[in-house]
Amino acid sequence: MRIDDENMELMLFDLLEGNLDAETERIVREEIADNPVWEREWKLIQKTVLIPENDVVFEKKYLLLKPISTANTGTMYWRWIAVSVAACLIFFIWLGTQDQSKNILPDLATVKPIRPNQKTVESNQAVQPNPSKSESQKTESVPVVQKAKEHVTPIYEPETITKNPVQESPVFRKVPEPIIGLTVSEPHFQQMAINKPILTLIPMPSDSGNIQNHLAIIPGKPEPDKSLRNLLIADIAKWIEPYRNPKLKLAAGRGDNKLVLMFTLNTSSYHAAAVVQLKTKE
Amino acid sequence: MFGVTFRRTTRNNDNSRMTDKEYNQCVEDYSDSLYRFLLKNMKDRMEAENIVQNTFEKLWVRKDDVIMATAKSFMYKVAYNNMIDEFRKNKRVVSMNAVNENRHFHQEHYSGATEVIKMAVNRLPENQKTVIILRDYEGYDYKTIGEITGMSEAQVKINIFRARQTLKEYFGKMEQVI
Repeated sequence: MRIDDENMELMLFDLLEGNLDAETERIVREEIADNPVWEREWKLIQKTVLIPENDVVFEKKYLLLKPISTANTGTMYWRWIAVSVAACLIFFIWLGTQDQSKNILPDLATVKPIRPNQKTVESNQAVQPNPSKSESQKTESVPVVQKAKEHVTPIYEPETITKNPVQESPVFRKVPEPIIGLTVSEPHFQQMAINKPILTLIPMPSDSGNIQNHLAIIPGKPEPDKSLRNLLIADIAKWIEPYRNPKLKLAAGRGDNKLVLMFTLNTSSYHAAAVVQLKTKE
Repeated sequence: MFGVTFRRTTRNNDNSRMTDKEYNQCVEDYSDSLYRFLLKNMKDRMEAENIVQNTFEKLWVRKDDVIMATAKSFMYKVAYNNMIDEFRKNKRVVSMNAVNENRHFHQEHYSGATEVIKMAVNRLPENQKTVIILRDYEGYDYKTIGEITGMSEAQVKINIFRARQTLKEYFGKMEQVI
């Protein structure tokens, strides 16, 4: 390539911009070294490269930041619900094809109602285990329900979702008061009201290693309907999925303005159960 | 007008959809540089801040259509268009011909090289100033600068060339004065 006074300026520009191939760059650099005029020009054009003023910052950045909302997770949430519902439907269709005597999981919609004077469920207290049970008693899977401080009429009989009854009675652990309605924060309630007007389950390990379960329900729906119960089953089933050989017992009761959901998780390693009272938002 | 360039061609893969977290990441990563770009061009803090906010509002509104990889270009294009609108509104587009090149040399005092460069850049025509800032501040190639400004690659290159020529001459004159 011929370099002369006419195109040298363009060459200097291309050299600065990195547009030259290696051979041309070598020639141009030699020309710069040999010619003081071009050397001065080269020094001047190198000064034209602007340097960012990094000390200039946008001070109102906080106005632009958005809270990490459930706007996107909401979409995922609905998908998750759809998958759960689909799984439930498939499951119950499968159940329908099985012999009734071989049913493993109960359909709460078909659970027999309890006679009004038969049992009461303690409203604010969890069902306590009977530690003095004999081994034969322990094979019974229906928990001993204590007298309620606040009368709550169960509408669904607790039924064990186990094909083979566990050999030990489930250890019913009282759910601490804070997780009864109070743990679910107001923002969570609000977000649910926007994104998913149904019940949700948040498993959370306690200090003792057991699993506590946070349940939340939106205002105005104190009683889970059939689809909601199915969702609950799907939720819990999904939750206990990581455990080996999980067996699930689920019961629900209703009284006044309260909803009691009781479920038991029996695994090959331990048993845990909880009764959770749900309070609708005042 | 930028929708064609930056809109995803398919919405099947929702993984490419910008999340809230990614949006906030854009704020953290690009708001400062975008503000510098605007401030350098406009020399008005309030206007620069307004355009930064408008730009991120548009990004937020269209975050489902903008993927993270093109978010920065998208924002610069939005900001650039906003800036041009402001210039037109305020009739602030200045032709280089209208500037008396000798006017500043003996009337202003410069504390150092940085001030000289600032003054020189401020005297560039808007289109030259924009492309050289995008080139040097952001390191964009000619093609990306062209996408942001709506110029062809050749136009971008010649504008950068002219800007550097102008700056070079300015620095040369300054050396003679000093």
